[in-house]
Amino acid sequence: MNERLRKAWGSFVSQPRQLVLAVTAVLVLAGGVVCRQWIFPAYDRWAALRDEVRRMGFDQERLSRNLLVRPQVDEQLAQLGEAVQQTESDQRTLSQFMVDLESAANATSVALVNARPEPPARESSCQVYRVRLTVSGSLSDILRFVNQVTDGPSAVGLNAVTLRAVQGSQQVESILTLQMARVAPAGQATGQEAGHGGA
Amino acid sequence: MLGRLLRNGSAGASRQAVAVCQPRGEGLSAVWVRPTNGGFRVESREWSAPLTGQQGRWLASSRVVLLLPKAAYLIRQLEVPAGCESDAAAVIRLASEALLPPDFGEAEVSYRRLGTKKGTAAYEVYLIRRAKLAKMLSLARRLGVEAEWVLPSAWVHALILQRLGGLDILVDDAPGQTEIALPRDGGGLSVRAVPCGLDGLPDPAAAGYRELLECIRSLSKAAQDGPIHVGWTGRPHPLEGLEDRLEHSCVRERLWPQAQGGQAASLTAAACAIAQAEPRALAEASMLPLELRRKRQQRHLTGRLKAAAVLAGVCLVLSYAALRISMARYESLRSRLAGQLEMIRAEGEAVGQRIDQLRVLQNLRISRDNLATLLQGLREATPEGVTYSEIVLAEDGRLRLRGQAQTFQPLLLPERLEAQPMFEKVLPGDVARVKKSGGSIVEFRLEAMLRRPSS
Repeated sequence: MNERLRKAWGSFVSQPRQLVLAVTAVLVLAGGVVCRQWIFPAYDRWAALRDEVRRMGFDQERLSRNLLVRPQVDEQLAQLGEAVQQTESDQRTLSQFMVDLESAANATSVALVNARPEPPARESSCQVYRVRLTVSGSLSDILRFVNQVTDGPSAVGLNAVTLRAVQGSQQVESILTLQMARVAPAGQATGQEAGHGGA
Repeated sequence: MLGRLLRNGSAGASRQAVAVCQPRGEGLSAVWVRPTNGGFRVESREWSAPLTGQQGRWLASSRVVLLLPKAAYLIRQLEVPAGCESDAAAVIRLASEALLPPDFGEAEVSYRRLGTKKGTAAYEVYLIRRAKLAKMLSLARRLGVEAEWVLPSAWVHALILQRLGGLDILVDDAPGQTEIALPRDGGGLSVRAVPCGLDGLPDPAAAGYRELLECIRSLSKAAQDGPIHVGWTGRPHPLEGLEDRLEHSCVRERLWPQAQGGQAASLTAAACAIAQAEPRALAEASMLPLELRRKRQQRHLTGRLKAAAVLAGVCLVLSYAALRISMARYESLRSRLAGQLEMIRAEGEAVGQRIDQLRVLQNLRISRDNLATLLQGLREATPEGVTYSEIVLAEDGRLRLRGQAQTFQPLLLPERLEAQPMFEKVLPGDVARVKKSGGSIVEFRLEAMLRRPSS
């Protein structure tokens, strides 16, 4: 059997084209086995290592940049004062925000028609309280109301606004989406948020 | 003259060195010609013992040609029907067997194309006994020479005559062996070998001299006017008194200087001609046996395949080694970075968190001015007589306006809004006159984006 195989192989490779074909096939096969057994796994490990090192490099660069600006960041946070610090529970903070809004409405002669607070949300280590207000009054009163609400020491912003003229009067009905943020004291950041921040 | 031979070569010729060897008794004479920039370099050797390593290298860098003397082969002219050029070798082999004497035995055949005329293609066919060729090849092999081509001298004479042009006779004079080549009608060549050579010249009784005279006389009969041009390679020979004996004028042109006389000169001219020959013509004229050619081709191919296999293996090994080295470098870099990160991670992440907080607060502060900015922009852009019934500013900064006017002044609004720095992407909507409480007003809708300062 072996002799027959050897003869068949000998007659096959006696033609140049068939010899080239046979050697190429053997080379491709052997190359494939070598690649599959050694080269590709090594390449995969190398690629994983390269990606990890690259990621670590980015992390190191980001954290180093953070450390560089640390004095300025601390200074800016200190300037904000205690009004932006989260010192009480969500319920109490939200209630206080609503009370402030009502006081401002009274002070600016704006009629508070409707107030709808939304559940507090966590955003980049800040607790964000959102209230949707419907007020009516003259345009200048509404503008004064918005100024009074947002100009305080607390961090309050105006997200969205709708102004609608009330027919037959100089009154304007307005739907305001106001948002207040409170900063969690240092060291209270959740583990989930850690690692996402930075310049 | 050598320069002329080299310059008039074919365009497809290679610039590789050529070594032309010719059997000489129990030894070989060889000339090696290497084209150089703007010239050529010639070396000659003679040996009768196997080549040493250095001599072997001398030949290994060249294409080796074994030149057969005329005494070793026959020349025949053959005409075959035109159109079978692609199978010329097989057709000529079959047809030439009929031309051979019955006791000639097995023969190797090669040929030179002469031209096509009236539906037939003419060939000059060279035939040699296989046994004689094998003997010459074995002598060459014993002396360490593996010929790539085995060429008949007639083919080389034809090449030289064609390159130089204007010659009526070519005399290739080497010690003990002289060949006289005469061009024939139709492009063929008649080659006469003078076994004893022209050693006796200018002795009129010498056999070679008689042969030469006979050739020139036969030519002079054909050429009534003008001189006969005789080309002379090999040993220098003045041929004094030739014209008196011929009663015809002769122009003798020496093809090689005095210093290169003898066998070397003859082979040098051949080498120069072959160096510039077309590869296809060389392959057709080569008398190397087919099986030997195949065996060499196989050996050559096997060598190349082995080299390819080794190269592929080396490539794989190098790739693997490169990956391992690169991995080792990354490993070291990773451990260094891990150490550095360990030191700064906690503090750096805390600062990053504070930066994020500042960004959120900053965004809130920026949004404080949204309403004031919006109202200021609308006041400056709104034309006289236009009022708004609804203004909606969404969280993403999209602005929707609805309003009315007595005339079509709202048509001016988009352009005026676009001119304000706080608005962009103004998109005009419907503008229509509608009837209202006995009269009519123009109602409009419009969309735009409020541009906010970035944090």
